[in-house]
Amino acid sequence: MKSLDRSAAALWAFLGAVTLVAVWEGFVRWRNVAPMKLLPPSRMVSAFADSPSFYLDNTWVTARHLLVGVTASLAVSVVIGAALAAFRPLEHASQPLLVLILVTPWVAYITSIVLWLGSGTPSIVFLVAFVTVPGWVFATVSGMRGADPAARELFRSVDASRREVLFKLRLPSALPSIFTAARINVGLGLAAAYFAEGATFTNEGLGAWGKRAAAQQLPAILWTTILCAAVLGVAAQVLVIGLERWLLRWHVSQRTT
Amino acid sequence: MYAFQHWLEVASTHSGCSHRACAGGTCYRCTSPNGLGNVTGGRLGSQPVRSADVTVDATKRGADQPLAAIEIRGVTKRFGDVAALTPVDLTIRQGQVVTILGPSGCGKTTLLRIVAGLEASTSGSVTIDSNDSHTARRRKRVGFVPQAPALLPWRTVEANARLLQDVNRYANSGRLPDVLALLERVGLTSFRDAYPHELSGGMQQRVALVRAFALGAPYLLMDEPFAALDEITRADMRYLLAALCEPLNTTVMFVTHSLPEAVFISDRVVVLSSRPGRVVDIVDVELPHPRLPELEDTPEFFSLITKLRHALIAGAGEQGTGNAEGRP
Repeated sequence: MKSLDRSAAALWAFLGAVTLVAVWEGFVRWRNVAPMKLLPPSRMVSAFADSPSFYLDNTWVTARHLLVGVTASLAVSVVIGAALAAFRPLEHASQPLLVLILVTPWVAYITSIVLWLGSGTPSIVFLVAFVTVPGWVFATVSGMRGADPAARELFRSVDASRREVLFKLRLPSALPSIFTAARINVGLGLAAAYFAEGATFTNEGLGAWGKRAAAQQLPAILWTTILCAAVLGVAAQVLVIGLERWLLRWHVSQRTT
Repeated sequence: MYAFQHWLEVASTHSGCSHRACAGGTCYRCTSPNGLGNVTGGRLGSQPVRSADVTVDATKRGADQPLAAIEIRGVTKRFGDVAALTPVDLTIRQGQVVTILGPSGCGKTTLLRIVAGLEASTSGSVTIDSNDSHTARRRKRVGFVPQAPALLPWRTVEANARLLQDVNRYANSGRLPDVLALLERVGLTSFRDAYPHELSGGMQQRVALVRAFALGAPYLLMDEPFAALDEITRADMRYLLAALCEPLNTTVMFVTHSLPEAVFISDRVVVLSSRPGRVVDIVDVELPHPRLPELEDTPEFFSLITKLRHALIAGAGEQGTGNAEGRP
């Protein structure tokens, strides 16, 4: 029954995707939309088919920037989040900085990042990590604070160390909210990577070629880099959802009963 | 009774007893204490099986023990302006099961938490094995069973049962009780790889009991552990608790609202007044051991329930000076 439900869901998702592509293709052709404004999917596919290695190589570069940035950010944020969850004054003190990171436009400070770290990968990875930190930290703090009070008391009753409470209780309790943040941060990190690649004077990555194509009025390359970035984002989301299903199989959000 | 009977029927029959009502361990319906043979190692395994403790002669478990296991002397507790406990003095001897009974909000849980070292008293002292309660906690001498099972949802039944063994390992006694044997005794062997959400409330509370017993601690502090269960499951759980405690000579401090629960498992019942809580009566439960379900149909059982009800009503009538918003 469960597999039938999943098959039906996959079928509906496929039908939705096909409908979207068909409407897109039809609309662009019917309205004769300028290619720089919107390219029909068929032309993106043919541009990709003309030089697949070019797009695949650059997609891989962007994927690497995303993966390294988001992973580094997660590692740092869990440490920060654990500290903030343990000491409330520290949490209050950190709020201005976290909110500032969250609301300040990247374009406002990307030049400063390039001046500090130089062009290329270091600046790109830094921006990806930097913009995803608040999401991870907020998720970690709220998840750790939400650990079952009765279980916390149980740990206290046998004088468990802070480390044991962190790794055996608080961190697993924070996993559901961390995964929720992951879904948002994957999209945010990808946008940051695409933007930073175009703004840090590099020749690698979808963002770098997308920006160059926009400047030189090359719609096929511009839109195909966008398509590749979108496919990369979907793949990353699928990976996160798969990991979530596996690691949180005990959690109410992953259960059908 | 259906759930309990069903559980007994599906439980395996141990070798030394002809009753079907033997869950591979101590039989609830006979006096054979062979269940300890299945529980190897540590305190459970090394504890000598004293048949005197589990036969009908042992009507006053712990009464013959000279050692005071838990000493509560002049303990008071205030939460701001609210007095939760006025001086409480109580001695619990080794091997005794003592129940704290009282109206809602009288400070039963507060007293238990102070004994467990989870809450500081405003004045007075608590000693466990001649140590203060914080030392007892650090040495893992006390198994705490909270009101909710507090199972970790990402851990399987077996992993949850091992949880207290896994933390603060340095304080573990040399040989710990066999968790699998304990799970077998409570009829959960086939659920060892299940997750908590796959269990009923009663099964979850059985895992919580196993987790506490797996610690191998000589003291158990239980805070209304069966309060959230339906009446049938609740009865099953008190039979199970009595069966687990009796052969081990475990000292238990048990908080409950339930009169049948108090009478069935206890050697003594301490009745607290309304807030601020103070001891208004101590009733000795001189019923035979082991405690079997049939005991609940005897006139002596009803007589004790009546006696406790009267003590409880009298205690509830004694209003304290704390305001109405105090902590229970």
